[in-house]
Order: sequence, then C-alpha cells, then structure tokens
Amino acid sequence: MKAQKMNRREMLRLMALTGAGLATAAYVAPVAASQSHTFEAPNVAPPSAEKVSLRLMVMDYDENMKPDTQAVVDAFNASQDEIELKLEVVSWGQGHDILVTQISGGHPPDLCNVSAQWLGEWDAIGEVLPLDDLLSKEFLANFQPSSIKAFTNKKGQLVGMPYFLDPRAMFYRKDLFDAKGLNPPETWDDVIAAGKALHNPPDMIGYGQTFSAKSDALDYWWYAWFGVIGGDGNLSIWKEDGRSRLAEPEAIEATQWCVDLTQKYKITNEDYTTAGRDEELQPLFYAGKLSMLITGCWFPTLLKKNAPDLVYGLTMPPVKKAGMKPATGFWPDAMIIFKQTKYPKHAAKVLEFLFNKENRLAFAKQRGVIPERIDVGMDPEYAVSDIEKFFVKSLETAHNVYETPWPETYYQTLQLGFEVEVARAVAGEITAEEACKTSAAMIDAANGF
Amino acid sequence: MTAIAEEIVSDPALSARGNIWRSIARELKENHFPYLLLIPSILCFIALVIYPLASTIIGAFSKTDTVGRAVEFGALLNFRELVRDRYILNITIQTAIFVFGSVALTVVLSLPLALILNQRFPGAALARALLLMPWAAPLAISAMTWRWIFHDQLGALNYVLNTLNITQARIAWLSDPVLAFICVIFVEVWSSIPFMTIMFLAGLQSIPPHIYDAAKMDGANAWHEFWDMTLPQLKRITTIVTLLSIIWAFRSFNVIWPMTQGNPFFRTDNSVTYLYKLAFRSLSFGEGYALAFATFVFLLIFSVVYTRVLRSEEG
Amino acid sequence: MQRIQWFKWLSLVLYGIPMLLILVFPFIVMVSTSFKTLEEVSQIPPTFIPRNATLENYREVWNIIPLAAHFRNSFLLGVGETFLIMVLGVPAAYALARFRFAGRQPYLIFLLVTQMFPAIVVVLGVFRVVVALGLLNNLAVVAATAASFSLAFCIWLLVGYFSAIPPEIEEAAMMDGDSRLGAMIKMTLPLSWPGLVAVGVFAFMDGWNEFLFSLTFISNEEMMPLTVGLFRFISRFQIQWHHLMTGSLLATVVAVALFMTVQDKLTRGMLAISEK
Repeated sequence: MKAQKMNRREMLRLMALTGAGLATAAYVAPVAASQSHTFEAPNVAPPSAEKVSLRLMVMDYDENMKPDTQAVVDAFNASQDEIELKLEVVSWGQGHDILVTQISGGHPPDLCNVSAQWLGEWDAIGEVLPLDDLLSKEFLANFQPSSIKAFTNKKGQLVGMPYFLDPRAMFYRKDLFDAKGLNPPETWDDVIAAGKALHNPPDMIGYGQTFSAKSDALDYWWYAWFGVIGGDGNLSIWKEDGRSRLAEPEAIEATQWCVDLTQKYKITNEDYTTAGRDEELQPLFYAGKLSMLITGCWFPTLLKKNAPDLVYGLTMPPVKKAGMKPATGFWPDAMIIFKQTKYPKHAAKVLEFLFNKENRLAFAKQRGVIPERIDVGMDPEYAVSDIEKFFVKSLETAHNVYETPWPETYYQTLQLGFEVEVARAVAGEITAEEACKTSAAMIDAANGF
Repeated sequence: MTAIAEEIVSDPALSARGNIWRSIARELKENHFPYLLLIPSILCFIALVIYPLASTIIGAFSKTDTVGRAVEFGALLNFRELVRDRYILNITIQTAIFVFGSVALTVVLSLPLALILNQRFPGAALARALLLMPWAAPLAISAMTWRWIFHDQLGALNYVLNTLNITQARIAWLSDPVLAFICVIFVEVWSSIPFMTIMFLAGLQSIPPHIYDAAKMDGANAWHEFWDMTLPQLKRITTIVTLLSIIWAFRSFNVIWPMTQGNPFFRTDNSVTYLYKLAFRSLSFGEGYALAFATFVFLLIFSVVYTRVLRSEEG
Repeated sequence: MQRIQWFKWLSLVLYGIPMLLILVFPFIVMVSTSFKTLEEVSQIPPTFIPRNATLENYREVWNIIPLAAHFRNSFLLGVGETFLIMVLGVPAAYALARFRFAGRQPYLIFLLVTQMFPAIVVVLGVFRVVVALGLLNNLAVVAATAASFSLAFCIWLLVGYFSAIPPEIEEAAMMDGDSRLGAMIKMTLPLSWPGLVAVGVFAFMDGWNEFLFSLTFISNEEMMPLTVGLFRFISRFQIQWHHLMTGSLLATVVAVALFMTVQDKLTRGMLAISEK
C-alpha cells in the first residue's frame, strides 16, 4: 500500500512539472507566430530578380479539375515572368480541415476556392483579404452584380470572387411522367400525384430527399422553403433584427412538407436520415430507380457520363400552390486571397488572370456551372443547350443561401442544430413545430438574443 | 505473468526514493546505460509529440477562435459548455458501448482465428494473406466501401441476402439507429481483427514448444492444453494489446466518419466524431479540446486501474 | 492424435473459412467493381460478375493520378517507419525491460499518454511544429511523426517480449566476453523474434496506411502516399467508384504481397539465428 501511494505522488509531480514546462513552451510558440504575421509589412518587395512564388489551392469538383486547372496555371506562368504559381489540388471533403489547420498554423495558401460558408467563418476572424483596392472597377463591371453582391461582407468589402454558382432544379423522369400522363412536378400537388403513381419500392422511389448533414447542409429543407415562400416572397431565413425566422408558420409549413412526403404520402427513399445527395441519391437516379430529385446544375454533366440513355425533364423546385412564382437558390463558392499572403498585389494579378473571359468560359463548359461573367453567359459558345439556358435564367432570381451579410454562426446553428431536428421530425420522433421552435430558440441564443 | 503491469504498480527501486528528479540525477551518474538507450525515443517525443499534446491540453482551458487557436485563458468555460451539451450523455454511453463492445468482440473472435492459422494446413499462406487484407487497405476507403455495401438499393449485402433467399426485404442498414450502430461496431471489429490476430499469432509462436511435451506425457487433452498452457502464455501479450486497443478505440474516427458521420441524429457518434463535429463543424474548438482532455483523463485513470486490477488478480 | 486432426479441420471449415470470407467480402466487391464501367457501377440490383467486363480501369488509374509515385511514397513511409521504430524502440524497450531505474514507470505511463489524444486535434499542433521547422512536403518528417505516435505500442510490446527472456542467458554470454550490447544483439533479439516481426509488421502497416499526417504535411501530389492520393477519385459531386476500387485493390494486394515475401524471409532468417 505504501509503495502505491508514493507512486501516485511521484507520477502527479512528474506530470505537473512536465505540464508547467510545456505550458510555457506551448504559449510562446503561437504568440510568436501570430506576432510575426501581424507585424509583417504587407507586400514585401520580393528579393530582386527572383520570382515571387504563390500557392493556388483548388478543391476539386470532378476528376478533371487537376489537369484543367494545371493548364490555366501553366498558361499563367508562361504569360509573365514575375510570379511562379504553384497548384495544389485538395478533395472537397478534406478541404475545410486542411485550410483550418493551415490558417491556424500560419501557412495558408495565397489563393483558394472555398465555400461561401467557410468564407464567412474566416472573414469573421480577419483571415480573408478584401479585394476592393486590388481589383479595378472596370474588371469588376464584367460580373453579374448579384454574384458580386453575394461576396460582399457586412462592412461592404468584397472578400471573394464568384467561382462556382450552382442553382438548383427539379430533375424528373420525363418518360415515366409522360407514360402515365402526369403533370411535370411544378407544384406540391403535382409531386404528390406523381409520387403516388410512380412510387413502387424497391423498383422505383417517388421523391428523393435527405437530412444527413452531408453534402450541402439542409438543402432539401431549403427546397421546401422555396416552395412555401415562392419567388415573390422574402426568402431570407433571418428577420431584420437578426433573429431567426425558423419559428414562423412558413418555416413550420416547409418542415411539415418534408415530414409529410415521408410519413403521410410515403413516397420518399427510406434512408432519408443517412443518405448523401451525391453518394446515394444521384446514383439512385442514374440507376433509373428514382423519379424525382432536386439537385444542382452540375447534374446534367454527370447524367451524360453515368446514364446517357436516361430521359429526364427539368423544372424549378415545386411551389406550394399553382399560380405561385417558383424560386430556387444557390450555394456559391468563391475564390479568395488569404490575408496571411505576403504578396497581395501579385495574388490579385493571378485572380485577374483566373477570371478572364477565356478561362471562365472554359471553366463553365468543363464543370457545367453557370457563368458569373456577363460576357461568358452571352457568348454563343456557352449557352447552346436548353439545359444551360434554363440554369442561366434561373440564376437571375436565385437566392444566395448564405446571404449577405451572413451570420457567422450559420454552420454551427443550422447544420448541427436545425438539420438534426428536421431529420428527427421526418423520422417521426418529434413534430415539425417542435423541430422549428427548438431550433429557432437555439439559434437566437447562439446569436446572443 | 503480467510482467509489465506488475512492475508499473510497484517498482521497489523507484518507490524507495522520494524525489524522482533527484533520484534520476543520482542514477544518471551511477547507472547511465539505460538512460542512454532511452535518449533516441525521448528526443523524438520532445521534437514532435510533446508540444501538440500540451497545446491540446491548453486549448481545453482557453477560449479559442474558429480555426482552433487559443486566444485567451478561459478557465473551465469549455467544460461548462460541454456539460450543458444536449447530446453529451448519449455520446458518452455510445462511446463506452462502441469501445468495449468492439474490443471485446475483436479479442474473442481473433483468438480462435489465430489458433487455427497457427496450424499447418494446405493454403495456410494464402489464408494469412487474406487475413491481412483489411489491415492493408486504406481504412477510410474500405469504410466507404462498407457504407456502399450496406446501402438498401445499391448495396451488395441486400443483394446477397436476397439471392440466398434469407430475406426479400431491402433493409436500409444504416438508417435505423440501432442497426446502424451495430454495423459501425461490426466494421470496427472487421478492421481490427487482422492486427489482433497477428499479435496473437506472434504470441503463440513465442511459446516454447517444450512446455507441451510434459503435458503430452501426462496425457492431457487438447482443451486442457489450451486452457492450462496456451492461454496463460498468451496472457501477457493479451493484456498489452487489449489495453492499447481500448485506448485506440477511443480515438477511432475512420470507421464511423466515412460510414455514417454519426447519423442518424448523433446515434452512431462516438466521442471522437462528436469532438470533430464540435471542433471542425461547429467551430467550438475549445469544447472539442475539452472533450479530448476529458477522454484523456478518463483513459489515464483507466490505464492505471487496469494495471492495478490485473496485479491484484495475480494475488 | 486422430481427434486433434479432426478438430482442426472442423474448426477450419466452421470458423476459419467463414471468418476469412467476411474479412475479404469488401475486396470481392472491389474486384467486381474494378472490372465495371462507370455506368454499370450504379446499377440496381448490383451485379457481382460484370456484364461488360473491362480492363480499362486498370489502365486508366495510372494516368489519372500518379499512382506509381503514390506506391513508391507509401512504400517509403512503410519502410521508413519500420526503420525508425526499430532504431528508437528496441533500445528503449530493452532498457525498460532489463533495468530498474528512476523514471522507468513514469516513462511507461507517458508512452501510453502519447496514445490518448485523438489525432484530429493533435495534428493542429504537429502542423505548427512542422511549419516552424520548415519541413513541409517532406516524407521523412511524415514517417518520423507517424513513428513517434506509434512508438508507444511497439515499446510496450517489446518490453513484454524482452522481459520474458531470462537475463541469465545474457549473463552467460557476457561471461564469454561479450559486451552488454553484444549479449543483447546475440542472445535477446533472436530469442524474441516473433515480437520483433510483429512490431515490424505493425510499423510497416502503420506507415503504409498513414493518412492524416501525409494529408496535412504534403501538398505536392508527386509526394503523396496512396491513402491520400486515392482521394482524388472522390470528387465533390460523385465518387468514381470504378477507379477508386481499382486503386484501393492494387494498394491492398501489393501491400499484402510485399508483406508475405518479407515475412517469409524474415521468419526464416530469425529462425536460423535462434537455432544456432
């Protein structure tokens, strides 16, 4: 017994001593790191005759992202002899964590394409460089005003360039709808009628939806919300004073619609709490086992590759009642410059090159994404098919889900809080009203009300 | 038999002295050979391990920004938030079931496998190669493959069950909270069996063959041979491997995350995936660090108790 | 004797074979998928034997990502970590097993402590260290980091093996004029070969499967190991299952083949030494 007591004391003492030593070490290091970056003069002149080396990190949208972007980077490096641009390609699923680690370690890339959600997070802690002084008015005049507005922060600074705009639409199996004489799913009643006629598991699922905090959070709830509010209404989920609108009757109605699709009409997939839109729902559509799915403008490109023979139609997300103006939204990505960069002016040069007409036209065609440059959108080389025309038109009125100014707590409160509550409501654990009211209270509390 | 466990608990050479630093200093002069042997590993820890561990601990007691940097001293703030968290109790229970369930199953399933593979039979080499496959595959990707296998429509599992006429239902394995939790534990066990079996095999091979000779002369049967001779010989390696496996299971991330991300509604989360959500998704890094620290404290106590219980069992 | 034989076969058929089947089940799916076209991948119900089997994937994966370089890097990580763990771990384990000295127990406990923090938060701190040292994009640093976080298990395991060997054996060798180090190398190491092989396998697999540190410290694609490189097949809106499965299958098979040859040689060599 005695021996054991001694041991414990010794161990504690050892731990305390090491702990104290480490504590000092651990505090000194980050402080030193943050100081060095605060006091560094911006835009240090590069050592003479040497090229400035800049890092461009891109998150991949598809397998060709690396070769396509490498070609742009090579063209840039060949076009001037001042800057050496280096490309790093990162998988979307890992991008956020890598950037967090690099920002926190004092080593972020100079430029990177990020989700507007992340942009909000890092702009709030002053890690994103405002672009207003770096880019000329003439250059910015080339872009859709709404796309520029989407990345203007609370202080009125432009903090990112629109890189990937992805309005959403309803994809439905036109062949099956025509065979049964069904209306295109433009209203909720259409969806119910079509779902009842076509849903026949496991051979055919009527309507696809998921609330699993995967992909873009909460998108299937947003589609219901678009349907309730309509294109003429106020699509913001925030009140003027910054409180959440989730407890309002419209939000409860939207949630109830998601619940009813599964619980009352029983026309959805069964894995609505775990499925990923990209991992399971889209493949289900390729397999010809899903008759209605709302997803983004990248989907036609994928359909062409995965299921070239599938006959499908496109409409706006369905509205609650016939006669309402439909609405849609987009979850945009931006190209940003990190504030920790040593060469802001050089980074801005890269930005101007990446966003010239030629490169953006190529990007729009490669990714099937909707152009943010006005001249690209009007270029005869771009809008050739009806699908592309449809999405270009829908972008004019699409709602930016992250909004401007976006609340800094978007991710935390909406994704982890509300989405779980909606999932529980759809699974029948709680009512739609409970889900909305609990979440609204939680979000308001998190925002300091 | 549990040599290490025993020695940790009471090391007479050490407990006789009062101040550990003074005694280390004294011994360094008299008997420096063991310290020399430790130097390479100590240097490695100083360079790469100590700072990250310390900064995690400090983060637990600090206010942090959205990229995980400690901004100012926050005392117990993070722990208070953690205790108030609506899901933390469920997460704790789930973690306990996940860790102890998966480790116990792994041990129970691996030992017979090791005994079988330790024999000579045609195709033994192939069997060992197959055994290694789950270990040799990148875990994150094989867990994603499992998720695909478990899917109700696209998955191979329902296809196999339907073809063999076991059931005609298309079961959504990962959508039901209980079923999903079982699946997650299953894949965790699947991924740990090769390691555990290899360790048991190494243990079996290090049993000197002559201990069986005497038994054979006494006419002991196979069961007694296993129970009275093989098992005690394996005990040392089992204690070490199990202890480490438990500690590792507490940090197991690459099974749950690719498979379910904790869905449906946090029912398949363990402490690490929840911690990841707190830190990297909710951006409450401080709370994440606090959860890591709480787990650490638990594991430290657990390890000490574990070794002590073993000691008292030995008498 | 008859009865034991009978029992052996029964256990093999009733337990061994079903277990192995479950263990390789995902790899059967991988093999099947690796011969499919992208179109056939998302077919319902899934097919086990592809209708239009193609070898195209096995050709394409090498061009889409620098797979050969990934193989080389994974191999280097595996070998590098094994080497580091042996160099750092064997002496430490020997000291902890053979000697009683002040600080011994705290060190053993400290080793466990290094295992008690989840890698996903620890990596933030390690990244800071590596940036401060200016050693990003360096495979040796990845191997060293991975090794230092795996050292604990290896030392603990080896302590177990070393302390099971009676010190008298070494003392006898020292009587014959060997130094302490010589006695350890000549007597103790060969006698604990199963432990050393186990630790070697563990270290190699740990390096081969290293993911988080490579992901964080390496941005140059040519220097990434397989675990990170294969993620290029998981793009934002779609998983390229046919390529991903082909790549992972190749990675797994090569690792196992490598292991089998090395283990065979190692085991024979060690046996030869210990029987001398």
